[in-house]
Amino acid sequence: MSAIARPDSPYRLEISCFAVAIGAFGLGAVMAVMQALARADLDVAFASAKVYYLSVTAHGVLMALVFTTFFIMGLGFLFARTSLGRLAGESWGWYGFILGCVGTAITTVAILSGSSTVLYTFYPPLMAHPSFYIGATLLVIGSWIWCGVMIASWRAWKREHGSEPTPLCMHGMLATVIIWILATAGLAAEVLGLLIPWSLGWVERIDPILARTLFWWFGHPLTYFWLLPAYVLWYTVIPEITGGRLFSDKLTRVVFVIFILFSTPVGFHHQFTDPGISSGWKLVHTFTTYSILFPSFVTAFTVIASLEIAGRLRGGDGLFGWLGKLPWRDPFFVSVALAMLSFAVGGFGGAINAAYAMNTAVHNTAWIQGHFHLTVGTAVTLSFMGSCYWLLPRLTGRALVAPKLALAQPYLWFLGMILFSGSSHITGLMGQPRRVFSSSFFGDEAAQSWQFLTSLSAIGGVVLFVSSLLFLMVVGGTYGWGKRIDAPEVRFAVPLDDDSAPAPVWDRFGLWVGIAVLLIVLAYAYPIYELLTMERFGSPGFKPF
Amino acid sequence: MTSSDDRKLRDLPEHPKGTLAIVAIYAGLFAAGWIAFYVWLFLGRGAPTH
Repeated sequence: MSAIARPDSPYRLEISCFAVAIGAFGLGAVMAVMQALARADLDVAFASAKVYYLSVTAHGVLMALVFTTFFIMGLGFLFARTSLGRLAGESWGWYGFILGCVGTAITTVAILSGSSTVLYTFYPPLMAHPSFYIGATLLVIGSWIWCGVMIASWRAWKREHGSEPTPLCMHGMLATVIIWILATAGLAAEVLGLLIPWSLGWVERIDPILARTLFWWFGHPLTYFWLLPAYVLWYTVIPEITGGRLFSDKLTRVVFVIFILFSTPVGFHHQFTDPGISSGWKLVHTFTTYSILFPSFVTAFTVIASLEIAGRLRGGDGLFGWLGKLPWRDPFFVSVALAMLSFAVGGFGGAINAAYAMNTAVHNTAWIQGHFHLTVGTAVTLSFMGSCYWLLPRLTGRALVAPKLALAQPYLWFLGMILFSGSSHITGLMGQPRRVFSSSFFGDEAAQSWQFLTSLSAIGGVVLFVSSLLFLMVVGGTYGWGKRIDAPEVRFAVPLDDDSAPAPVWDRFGLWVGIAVLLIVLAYAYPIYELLTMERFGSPGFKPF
Repeated sequence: MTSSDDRKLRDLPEHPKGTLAIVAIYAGLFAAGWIAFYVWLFLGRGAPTH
């Protein structure tokens, strides 16, 4: 794999992680366009239910689990190396990366072979081939090794810089690492304790509600595992490339700590319609979910304020005159600006999803796919894609090829997502279920009312695929044929407030982890006890395809 | 940072007025949208009966 990265590059590990992430993204994009064409009800050869659900599974796993995990690993290694001046135990980083690759390959083969069409949530009683779960486990173990390297790097730095505050980008990445470890504890319990023994035939039946509960212990903080590295880019890189200052270092640390505390005890808002979990506990998780909106509001304020500083330093004035002075021809900045705009809308949708009563209006409808394509599919993905235009010259010493295509790409993505996600939100409210093959619903009368919007969402899917191709062309072209330049330095934003004070309380990660664990125990211990002690029947596995 | 940049930084308004305006508009739209969804869509449809 190291052949991907040139042997003279100091960033071989980072480049290898990004290469695997982008490869998974490319394959996931092909799966997505197949679904888009199927939604358009075109008479294409592969438009069967079997292929459709296989492609939904592959798209979800490759985009949401593989692309994001490898990209975040690459960003983490880069931020540790550049901000701490070291990567402790780099060889372990390679072991984690290789293990992740092996796991990804095993899981991908399991999906593409047609033996593991269980969608990205792999809810039982849908049963996959054991290799699907084992491969996913290896990917997670690889990411745990990455977590170890990140923590070891920080501790080594801390030994030499005891009283200094942790560099802000590492503060955010360590919050990401902590959230990932806390979240994957639930996943490990589900996969190792329930799914693998069941798929191997060691036990005949599985408890679907217990499995779903453990999945959403993991599944919602997973969204913050995706989101926080994007926030780190927004907070610590965007003010720098726009020529401004970070509005507040301290406020940023507070945001990362709140995410550590409240990311995990929120999972029941995905299970409002599930039996076996009492209403009171669902309401508790509604409140904790609403509490996690707060740091995102603070993020919106802080990042926009940082942009206002940049716009005013560039000569902008008036209430909004600074907006026009921002670097609208920089593809990374444009990507993040559009990502933030998408997240503003997605955040509103999230507040509807998380409301105990109103959730019934959108539960398992096309609204949900519209929602998460605005959040992870645009706010996170567009930030990561845009960051590649900033990363490539710095990691490879090559100038970006086709900068106009790079600039067009985020606009196209945004347009495609308006068509896809906007249509999905509306058809969801009209009652269109998600994850149902055939947009005409086999001639159902109700489906006629949303047929036009479903076709519009398919057009959006094709526009998104074109944007993906532009991204792959620019990234691949730059890596292979970009003009050699002196690699620009990786630099981070300077805060407006004083960051030279001794390490603040927000850097005491042990304290915050302790409180986070306590909150998880409070939120999950009794409901899981109830699930384990009520009469349970279990279910055998099903393989519809 | 050049001395010119330092001077510009000192000349910045005390509060990020544009940001406060954007955030206030968003907060207003967010709250109004949430209430509108609840009153007209959720209550308007009534409880699920089948």
